[in-house]
Amino acid sequence: MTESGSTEPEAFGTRSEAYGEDAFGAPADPEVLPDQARRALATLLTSRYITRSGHPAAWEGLIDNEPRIRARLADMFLDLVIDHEHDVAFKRQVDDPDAPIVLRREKPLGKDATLLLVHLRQLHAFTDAADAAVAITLNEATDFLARFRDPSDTDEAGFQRDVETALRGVERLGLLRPDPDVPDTWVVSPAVVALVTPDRLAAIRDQMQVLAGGERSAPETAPDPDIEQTDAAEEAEDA
Amino acid sequence: MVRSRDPEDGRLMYELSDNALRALRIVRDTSGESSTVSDSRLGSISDAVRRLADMASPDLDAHIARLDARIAELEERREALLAGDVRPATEEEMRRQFDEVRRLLASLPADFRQLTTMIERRHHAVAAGVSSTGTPKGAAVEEFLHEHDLLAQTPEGRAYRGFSDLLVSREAESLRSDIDLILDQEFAATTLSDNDRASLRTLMSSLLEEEHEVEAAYTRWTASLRRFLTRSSGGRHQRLLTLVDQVLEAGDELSRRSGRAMIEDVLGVGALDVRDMSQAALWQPSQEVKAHPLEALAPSGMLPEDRELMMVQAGTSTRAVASTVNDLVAAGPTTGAKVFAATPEACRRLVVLLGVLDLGLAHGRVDPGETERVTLITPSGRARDVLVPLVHFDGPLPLKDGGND
Repeated sequence: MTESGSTEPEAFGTRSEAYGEDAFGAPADPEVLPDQARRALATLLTSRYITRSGHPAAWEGLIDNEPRIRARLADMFLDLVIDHEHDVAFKRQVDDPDAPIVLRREKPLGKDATLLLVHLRQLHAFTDAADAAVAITLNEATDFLARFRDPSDTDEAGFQRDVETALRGVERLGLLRPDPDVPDTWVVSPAVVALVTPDRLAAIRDQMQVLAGGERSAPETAPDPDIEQTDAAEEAEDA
Repeated sequence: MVRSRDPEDGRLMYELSDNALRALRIVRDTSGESSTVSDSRLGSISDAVRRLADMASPDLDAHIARLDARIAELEERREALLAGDVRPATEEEMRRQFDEVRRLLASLPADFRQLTTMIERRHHAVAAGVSSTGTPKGAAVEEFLHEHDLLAQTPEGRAYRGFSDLLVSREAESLRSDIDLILDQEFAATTLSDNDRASLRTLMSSLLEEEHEVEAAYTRWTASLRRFLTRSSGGRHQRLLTLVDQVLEAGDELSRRSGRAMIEDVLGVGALDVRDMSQAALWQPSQEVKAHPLEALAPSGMLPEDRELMMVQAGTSTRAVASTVNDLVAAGPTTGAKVFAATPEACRRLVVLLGVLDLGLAHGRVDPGETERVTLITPSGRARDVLVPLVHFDGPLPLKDGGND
């Protein structure tokens, strides 16, 4: 899904010399993005992610100018990720330990909210973009989080507050939206599929294991060749 | 409640589930007048039992004997009708029979909804089964899809198909004509309410509508299941589900050991780490440069390069170009190219060249058949040779205050 934008070597004294000019000598300046693309880039930089429905103008600007925006982000050590299936786009730090960190670390998320987020990703494992939206009710969230509740805890009101806090935590990330028509029901943003990737899940698992005082899981072994073959076939199909 | 998506605008819709509808029907049946046992109810039970007996009995002779008895019974009734020896049904009896019809119809929405729910559950069961067993893709598709739709092989799928076939059969035609017959009778006009008549009139279209909804759900979930089977056996999907399980396991351990905890940077897609422009480090106190007081600058104190830069940025006035022409023609006739060459190098821009041509058209002579070469400077600072019409200036030009061209 990610592609690194290529960078051109500076073959001339100034960048503008590397590009053609019009008949009257005005350079066809590659440095200046169209207004729509600049706005899309600014929205991408200042948002966690953008979606087609939530940011229609930015989405259009991004799709129309994807290579140039990808290159701009690459200049800042950022990878552009676009999930066309779920219409969501965001940027991530490049996978390079020596690259400067340019993205702000998010506020930490509570354990219950994190587990709920993982549960929402699991619900999406059985659906795809062509299926109806996934929703979760207060009761379903309560039932799920009850699995992680201390059996000796008898404070029902306190537990219910914890559940609501967890729901609000995921809501703040923009991945849950209260259903305006049905009380105590939240619609899950399909962006959760693109954002909660296997790599993120592995990072969450490792953090939880460290916090629990246990040992981190051993690094994953090399993928099964059969599985790799299957993935390659799938990617070929997708292409 | 059952959630679905509006096909028109994609909004989520919620409807009563099959269980909720059944509960409501039970309440209605136990509290309404139709809860009374009647001859009509017994007739319905009798018909249903007879059909079951026909289906259940493997003895063909017994089956034929029952059909013969039924034919004899019908012929006897026919004879009685011909002889005028049949008591017409009372209004009360007709009312009870209509109530029975209404009671049977009332169960249909719940039955249809149950079919849809079964289809949905079947989808999730298959999906969960494939995910947990890790069946290879080819085997999963082979096992579940065979040559036809997967759900057609299930009991609920077969039941639905039976109903669907019935709706387009001769029996459905017979049902339509019976409804028309009932609505044409005085009984319908005097005993049935407007709602009762409307429900009879729209019975078939309602059934078809319900059937189409089930058909749509059937198609939707079957397609969804196919897509799921296609992607589920991929390594990425399996890895994702494994990782989800590992996270939940780690969460369980964390809950047991320390209860509350905070997880850092869960999504890793924070905004650019600049809260305000001061963080962009455009100015730092350590690099402070002392500014000169404004009064220290004389009015003519502008540096030559600044003046040139302003001229380049703002363009060169027609008056300045005309002044250059006059300076040159004082020594004899000149041309546009010479005027342009006499302009300060940084100002030899396209706009000045156009100014020279403009003055040539207005006060000089333009020789369109001849050209001369001039070298202009592009905005990027590069020199570029262009050919322009030959312009002759033979005498001085009037100097007017002109704006920039």
